[in-house]
Parts: sequence; structure tokens; C-alpha cells
Amino acid sequence: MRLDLTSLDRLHPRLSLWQVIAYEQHAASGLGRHGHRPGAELATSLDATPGQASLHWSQSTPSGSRQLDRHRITEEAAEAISLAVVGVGLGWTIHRRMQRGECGDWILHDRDERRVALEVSGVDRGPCAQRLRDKTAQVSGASGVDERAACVVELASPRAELVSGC
Amino acid sequence: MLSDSLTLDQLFALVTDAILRADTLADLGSASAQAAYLDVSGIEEAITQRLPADHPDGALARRGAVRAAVAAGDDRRARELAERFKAEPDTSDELRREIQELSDGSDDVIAARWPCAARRYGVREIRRVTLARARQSAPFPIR
Repeated sequence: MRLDLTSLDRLHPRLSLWQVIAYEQHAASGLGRHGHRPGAELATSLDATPGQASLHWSQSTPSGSRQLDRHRITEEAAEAISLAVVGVGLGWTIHRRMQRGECGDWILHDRDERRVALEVSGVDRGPCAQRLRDKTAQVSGASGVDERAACVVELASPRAELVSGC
Repeated sequence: MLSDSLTLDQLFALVTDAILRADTLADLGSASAQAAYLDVSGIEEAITQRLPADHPDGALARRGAVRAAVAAGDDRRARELAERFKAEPDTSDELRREIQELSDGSDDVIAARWPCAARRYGVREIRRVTLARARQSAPFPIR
């Protein structure tokens, strides 16, 4: 599975170009601080099914990211990678962003046009299990959707773990 | 005021962009964050005019319009939107309760912004005075 962070807007046409560029910059910065380069292998776990993907980006020294704190870069990198994983791996596309307090970050449509609430989080280094449990619990409160999912990305490895049916 | 010619597709793209921008500005501690949340509230309101309250996106937009008005610090707008949405016939009891809770949350915002005045006079009095000040042409006196 090839995940091209330069073309997130092709996977998710409702993302604006500035946001795609920002996501790519932050992913480049977050992955770069662990020594990863374009083409890095991403270990995936989609509902406990293991897999591999390659991550591609074009910007190696994003100057704009220096103004942002480490935590924000981690979260934004996780958003970029998660949106690529669900777009390429599951065929989900962004319907709209949810506001803070709505028990999820995104509403997406799956291939059958069902509504999926997705909560995303990032970890710089270390285990994802507890964070995934927290995010699963959080998104379980989302209303007006057919499916609920949580995705946690760890940048050091890197790896992405997604659980649906929350 | 948003153009009536905007499609729902365009509004969902706009609200996505506006939320991401407002959250970014808020995280950076920018003074522009409140204005950005007001933009979010306006786009959410435009969605409510195209989708009924019993549609999942209509319900989400109604909560969103009130929630963003609270985040923008526009207490008056939050309460007016909440009253309007609660009065709609296709609003479920659950959505009414959620909207009321969001609107009540603006009390917490007021209490956090003016803690001493909130303790001494109460949130209701602060609300009355700020509303009176907004409506009168001169800054003093407020009765």
C-alpha cells in the first residue's frame, strides 16, 4: 500500500490545499525527527489485521513547522497518516470535520456511503494501546453515524493502528 | 452572510476548512481565533438552513453553530441560535437537551472570563449588563 502524503486532496477532495500542505509539512517534520525519509515503511494494523505501507512526502526541511510545538506536529502528522491509511486502505473519504467536543475529529463516508466517525491521535514514541483505548472510548459517544473508528499513529516506528466498530 | 448559491458540498468543504483554521489559531493563542470561530458558526448556520434538524448533518450543524458561537465568545448569538433551534418542530428531545447544554456552557465561559464579577453579581447579571451595553449607543450609564 503506497501512501502519498502529497496527494491527500485527491483522496479527500474536501481538504483544502493549504491543509494538505500543512499536513505534509508536519508529517515530514514528525517523521524526520526520527530519521525517517520518504519511502519509509509504515506498519499498519487495521482491525487487528497486520499490514505494511510505504509513506511518501516531498518536503524534507519544513521551515514553517519550526514555529509549532512538538505535540502539535505529532498530532498533525498523525492526522495526515491516518487520513492516508483510511483513504487508501479502506476507501473512506472525508465528509466533514467535526468540532472539538463532538466525540470525534472527522465524519467520513465509506464505500457504501455509510457515515463513519473517526477519532485520530498521535504518539511520538512508545506503545499505542492505552491511547487507542482512550480514543475508542471517546469516539463511542459520537452520534448520527453508522460506524465509529479510532486510529493512533506512532511516529518513531512508524506504525498506525485502527480499530472500528467502537 | 453566505451566498445562497453555495451547494451543500461546498458548505461541508468550507466548514471543514474553517474548523481546522479556527482550531489552529486557538492552539497558537492567536487573537484571531474568536473571529475564526464566528466564521465556523456562520457556516454551520448556513448548513442548518438547508438540512432539517432530524437529518444527522442538520443536527450536527445545529450543535456546531451554537458550539462555535460559544467558542467565539459571542454569548448572545449562542443563546439566540439555541432558542431558534430548540423551537424547530423536527428537533428531537435529545438534540434540544444537547443544544441547551451547549448554550448553558456559555455561562461557564462568562464565569471564567469575569470570575470576580460572576461570584459577586452572578452570570445572569453580567449577561444583562453586557447586553445593555451592546444595545445602547453610549457607553454609560447602564441601568
